[in-house]
Amino acid sequence: MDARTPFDEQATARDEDIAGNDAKLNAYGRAKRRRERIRKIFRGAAGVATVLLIWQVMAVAYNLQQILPPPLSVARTIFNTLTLNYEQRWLYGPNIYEHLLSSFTRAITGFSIAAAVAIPLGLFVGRFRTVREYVDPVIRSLYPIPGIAWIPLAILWFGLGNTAVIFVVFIAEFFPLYFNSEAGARNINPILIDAARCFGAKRLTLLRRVILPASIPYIITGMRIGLGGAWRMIVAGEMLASQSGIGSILMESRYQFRATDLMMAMILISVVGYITERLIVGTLEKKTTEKWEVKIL
Amino acid sequence: MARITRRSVLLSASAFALAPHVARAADADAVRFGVLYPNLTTVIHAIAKKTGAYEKHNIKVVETRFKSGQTVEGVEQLWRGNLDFYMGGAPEVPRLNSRLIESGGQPALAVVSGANPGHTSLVLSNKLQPKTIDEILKQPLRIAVSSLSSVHLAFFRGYLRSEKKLELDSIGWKFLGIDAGNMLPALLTGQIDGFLHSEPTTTLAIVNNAGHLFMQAARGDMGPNPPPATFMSSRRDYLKQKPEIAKRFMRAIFDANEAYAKAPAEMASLVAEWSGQEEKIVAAAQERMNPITSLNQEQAQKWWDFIGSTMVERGELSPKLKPFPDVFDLSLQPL
Repeated sequence: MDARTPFDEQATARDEDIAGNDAKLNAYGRAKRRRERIRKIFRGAAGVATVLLIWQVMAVAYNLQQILPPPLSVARTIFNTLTLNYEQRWLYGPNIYEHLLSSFTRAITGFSIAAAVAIPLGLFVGRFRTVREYVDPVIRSLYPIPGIAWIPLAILWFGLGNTAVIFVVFIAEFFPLYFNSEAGARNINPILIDAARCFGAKRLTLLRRVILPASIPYIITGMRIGLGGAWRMIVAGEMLASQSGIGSILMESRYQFRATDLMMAMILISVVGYITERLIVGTLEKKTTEKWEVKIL
Repeated sequence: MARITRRSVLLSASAFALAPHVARAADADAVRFGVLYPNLTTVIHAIAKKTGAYEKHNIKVVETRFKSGQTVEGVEQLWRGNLDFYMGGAPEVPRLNSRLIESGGQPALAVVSGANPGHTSLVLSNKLQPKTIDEILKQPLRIAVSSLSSVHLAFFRGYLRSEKKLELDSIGWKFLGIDAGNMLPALLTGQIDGFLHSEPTTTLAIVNNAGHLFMQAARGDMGPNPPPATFMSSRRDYLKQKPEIAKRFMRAIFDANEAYAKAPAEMASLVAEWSGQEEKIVAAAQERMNPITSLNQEQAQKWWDFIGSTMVERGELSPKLKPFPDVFDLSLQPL
């Protein structure tokens, strides 16, 4: 026997209508998002293409090959260098992959040490006002010294080579990581802390469950700034205190008046820096901020 | 009472406008000269200034100083038309001309003179005391050079090829690009086993007992009649447009050559002032330096055979580049 009343049938029909509408809305939303993504890609590509076109026209029309090599020459050089099929003699020692690996290792080592020191210190200082009053003046007085100014001292302390460059990267990356972590820890809503305490959270639990998740958007921002800075610093360090790495290629290509190689090195730094940032910070962001659904208010 | 007329106003205005040009006609001709400073290799310019050689030839030098080791900047400025002459390291001018030829252009710069023949020294750590270079060629030594494109490395490469019939890649040494200022501390702290460089780094290493002079090109340790290590260069269009001024400028340099040749010891204080070194260091370095700036066909050819040709083989210079006329223009000497 059918126990369904007309009311039930009406409700079912209504539910089906709603579900259908939801599906339509979802499909509409997906199509809209796809259109937006395509539009964004198209606009971005148009911007890049315009810059490349102006660059090519200027380089050729004004015969600027020696100071502004056309993008097609640079693209050809990048391709040839990456395939190890050099158009001109390679004058920079080991192949490009070894140089990139040297730079990558230094950047990541310096950045990791900076993160390991600056983030816990920042969180600690951010939570304890007394500590902050002692530590803050020291850190703020060191902060204005640019990373590059540490290079002569780094060479003196650590000699020429990896350690000096890693140290300079560490110094340069420490500050954005520290200040962001400290700001994150300092700006936690006290209600969250109080609520956690009411539920019996002790120090470590408080740190793991409240302070760290609440500070993570700040920390991620610091890491994003820091990793970009690591690449900027690695180049400066390698130009002055190292025999390998992408910075040394930049320096040497200048001595050789090879502007195409110089631009190739610059573009490779940009690409590798972007990929590193996406891989490390992007992954970390997915595993923390997005998972815990926290954001800076 | 004199009246202000339209004619007097126009005459006064014209006179006012022309006055600086009339006055300038009697002025000395300006030459924009780029030099490495403080530096021992460009000391001939300091001597020309001190002895009044420029004034004697009615030249007013507008000096632009470049930090030692930054020859590339000077050559770039010369090429961009911001200088008329430049004195500094040697390989950069052929390198730039080579790039221009490769891109279908004409060589823009010309080497018009040279100085400091055989200014390359091989200084070794005190721990290394070989009797001949053959004893250490296969050892894994860490030898510093100012850059992998250094003139001293190019010179050493030429020495190995011509005197030892060896290629640089076949020896056991590792060459490290280190700023000259860091070579001494690096040697003292055992980070390097030696360096290939010029003065005053060599003398500073000896005086501070950081190392010992093992080979010196000027005394013939790296072959006879070593070529110059410093070049005086100019722009070809400048030499074409202002040949008279260029000649007078070079005459002033030759006068300074004579002044130095007459009494090198008396120039020690001036050299010390220009190079930023103590007078005792300069006095010790003087036996290994020769700032007299001149270049003949034979020396230019020697430079090319010794250094230029190895740079071609290494791929630093285009095979299309010829020493004459693409690199050297010796029309300004002897005058």
